[in-house]
Amino acid sequence: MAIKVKSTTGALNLLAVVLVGLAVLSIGAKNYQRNADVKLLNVSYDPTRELYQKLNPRFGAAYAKETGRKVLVTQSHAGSSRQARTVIDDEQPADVVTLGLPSDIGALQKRGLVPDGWAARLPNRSQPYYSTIVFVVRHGNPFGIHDWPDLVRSNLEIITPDPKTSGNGKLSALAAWGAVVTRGGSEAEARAYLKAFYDRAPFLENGARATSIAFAVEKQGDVNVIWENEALREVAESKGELELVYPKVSILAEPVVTWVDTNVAKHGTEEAARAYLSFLFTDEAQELIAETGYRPFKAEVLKKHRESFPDIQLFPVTAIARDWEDAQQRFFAENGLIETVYRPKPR
Amino acid sequence: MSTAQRAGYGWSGLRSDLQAAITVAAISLPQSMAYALIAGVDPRFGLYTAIVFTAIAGLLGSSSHLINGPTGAVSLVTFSALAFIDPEARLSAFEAMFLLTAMVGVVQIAIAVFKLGDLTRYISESVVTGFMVGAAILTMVGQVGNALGLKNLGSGHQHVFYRLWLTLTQPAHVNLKAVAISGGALVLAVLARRLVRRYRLPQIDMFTVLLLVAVPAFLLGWSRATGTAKTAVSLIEPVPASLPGFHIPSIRWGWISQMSSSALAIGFLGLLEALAIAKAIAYKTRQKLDFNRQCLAEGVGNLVGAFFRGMPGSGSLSRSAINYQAGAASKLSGVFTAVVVAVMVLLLAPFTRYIPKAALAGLLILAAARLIDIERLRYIVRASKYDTVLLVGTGLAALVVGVEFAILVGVAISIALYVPRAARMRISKLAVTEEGFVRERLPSDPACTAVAIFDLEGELFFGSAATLETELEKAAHQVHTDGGRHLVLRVKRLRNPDAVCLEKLEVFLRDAGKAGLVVILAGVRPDLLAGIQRLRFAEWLPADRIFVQEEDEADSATLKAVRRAYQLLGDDNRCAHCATHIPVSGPQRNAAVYVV
Repeated sequence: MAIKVKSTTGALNLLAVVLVGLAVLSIGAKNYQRNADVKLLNVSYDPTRELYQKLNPRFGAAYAKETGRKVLVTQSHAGSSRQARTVIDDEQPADVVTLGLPSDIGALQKRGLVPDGWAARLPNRSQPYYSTIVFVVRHGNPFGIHDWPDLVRSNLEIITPDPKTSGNGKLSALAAWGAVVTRGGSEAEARAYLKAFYDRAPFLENGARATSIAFAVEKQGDVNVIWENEALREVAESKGELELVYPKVSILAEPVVTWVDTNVAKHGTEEAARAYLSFLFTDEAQELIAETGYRPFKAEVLKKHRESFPDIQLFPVTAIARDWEDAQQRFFAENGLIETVYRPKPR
Repeated sequence: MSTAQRAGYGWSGLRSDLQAAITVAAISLPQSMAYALIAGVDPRFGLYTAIVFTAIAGLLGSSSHLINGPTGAVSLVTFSALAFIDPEARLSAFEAMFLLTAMVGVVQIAIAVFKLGDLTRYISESVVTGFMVGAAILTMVGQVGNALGLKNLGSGHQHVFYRLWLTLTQPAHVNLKAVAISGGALVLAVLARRLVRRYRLPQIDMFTVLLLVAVPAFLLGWSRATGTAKTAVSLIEPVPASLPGFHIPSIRWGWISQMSSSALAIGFLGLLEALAIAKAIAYKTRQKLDFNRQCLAEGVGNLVGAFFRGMPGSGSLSRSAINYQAGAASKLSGVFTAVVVAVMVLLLAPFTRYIPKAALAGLLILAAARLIDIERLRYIVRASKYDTVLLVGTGLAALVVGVEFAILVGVAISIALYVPRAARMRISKLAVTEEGFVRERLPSDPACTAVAIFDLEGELFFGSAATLETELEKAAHQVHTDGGRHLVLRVKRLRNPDAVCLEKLEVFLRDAGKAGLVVILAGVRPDLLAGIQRLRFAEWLPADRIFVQEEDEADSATLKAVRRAYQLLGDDNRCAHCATHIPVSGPQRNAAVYVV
């Protein structure tokens, strides 16, 4: 039992005050933002946290060297389509958007936040990296999943995000659809497949990261249908508990970046925003992009990292629709195809 | 540690504490998950709080029986504190909650270090009771959706009754299976409590009931995903079978200002809750509590808990009571409870994914209903109108304004009711009897117009300044209409003068002087005298106008003042009454003056 001495209280008070100090210091250190000459808000999709955490300081150094100005980039992450909506609603005054699908920036374009022809403002139609949708399964692949048909063969649980809010969710749906129609299946078969696919989802999270936490941390479900980069990270962090499965075919995902003209005009950040996004296309950034699990657009960098990115068959969006905008309209708009096969299942 | 103390605790104490801990942990497990549900976050954070916060606050606290952890009232405030975050950005909401927990810890540590723990006693118990009733009703309203198997609509910004309306009027149907589960849990819990009471069983009724509804629900296939991959009733978020890990909250700076008022509210509320429970148990055990120490324990517990993904917590009424009844011997019981909960989380986590939300909702509604202590409410309402206003005002504030402001509103009401009471000033006319006593003047006393004696009683603070001014003017006016020029003010019952009242007094004395009225202050107490000296009244007020109160409680100072008044009056006394009592001249005259 504690012996009550006067000094005990004093010592405890001191301890408490020290703890308060430590708490303030640690939270401060973790969330510290330097004073900067230029501030940029990068509104991105869910799994790019680590990518931009690595890229931002490199860009900061390069930008300081070139212009002598300090730049501070703040990141914001959530489901890609949701993020686009918050930028449209001006809840997030984004200087740049780095989103999962061209149609998400298309939504900004429709409302006049970015001009028509925005894609031509940066190299490679404003696509600094590619990615795709793959599977993560539990150790030993107990359900023997190797390709899309395996997902609906057994009675298992598929963990994937909501196609209404998440880029990952949309790409999962398009990849599943394309896996049928690009291999000779009919549209009716593809629809039946998609229905079976969503029937096996116990819930649909808003974004990719919440989904991967549900699968990897909370150990929900049997297979995670997810971005390749997120899958690589998940498997690397799992210490052998998870395995990555590449299906035979999947969709070529084309994340895009652009600056938001209305906002950079307001903030006076157009030059910095342009420099930031151009930096993504440099060799230095491309190397980092590859290391973080995204497929770099530069062929020579991709070649260097070939062993990380198996050469599976990636069909372009044009294999299933006219373009991304058309895919958005056909599948995900009000009364789109997806609404006939799925219903929202929030957690 | 002395041998005697060790012998005092020893094996039997250890065994009692362990036994109590197992019972308390059994109730802590469902409660912690349920309170996380109230706060709108994953159940695992409730369990983490029931491990880290419970252990630390138990170890450092002063009370031997208080069990800390997530509580209903604190969780309600936490829910509204997190309302500013987009409900779909759940990960941000979690980080914000960890930050909130740390902020609550800092507030509570500050209260403890500056020894403000005693301040909580200025919050009336009627305010706390009113708050508890409001919180209980809010809890029940908030769980209606879960109990009926409906998706809860609306965000924390919206009023709780509006959210209920949205939830109830959505196109979806009531899920009868969910109703069966929540209703079953409610009924079984009521029965189980009766059985436990009658046969003096260990109080693990909540845990048992949870099993009794979750297992059949599982066997009936309601909580299993078959075929359609969607369960028939919605389940709680599963808890990973791991202990809470160290995690520094990743925050946005704007959150700090947005949550600061909530952190203050939770900080105070948590301490009130914990101290009230600790006091109630200590009253039975005769334990001497160190309030500030208990505040410190709550603060450190919350602060450290925040770094292990904890939610804000406080002292739990039901768990503490069970801990006491289960025979806990020392505060190690709290530490053991935390350890047992940790072990249970590791062992039982895989099964938490089969707990229907409706089951927890049923138990929560019952627990909330039990918080409304009808007997106590009746007592308060009977006791005084003043307390009834506090009780109803605080309860309504919780329901209408918001739970985080309820206590503040209650305190504001008590101040609003208290100040006019404190500001009351009593003024009465005095008379000096033939025997030389000072007493209140009776209507039968002969009218004496030469020297008027008035008594003032009350607090001399800003609240009473206006009353003081009017009363003094009334007294002066009466002296004037009676045709006298001498006024003795007995001030020995005026307390704690402040600047506002001293200024009123000074203005009155100066004006009276100009108007030719002689005012003598009798029975001036040290605090008033110090004020008069500091404000240098002596520069314009003759020294013989002030008679200091003697050590004794007698009225010698007043008598002296009256004598001085008659001396000053001298031959100008034209009072009819005095003329009959005081000889016109000669040595007798002075003697008579001394008699009065």
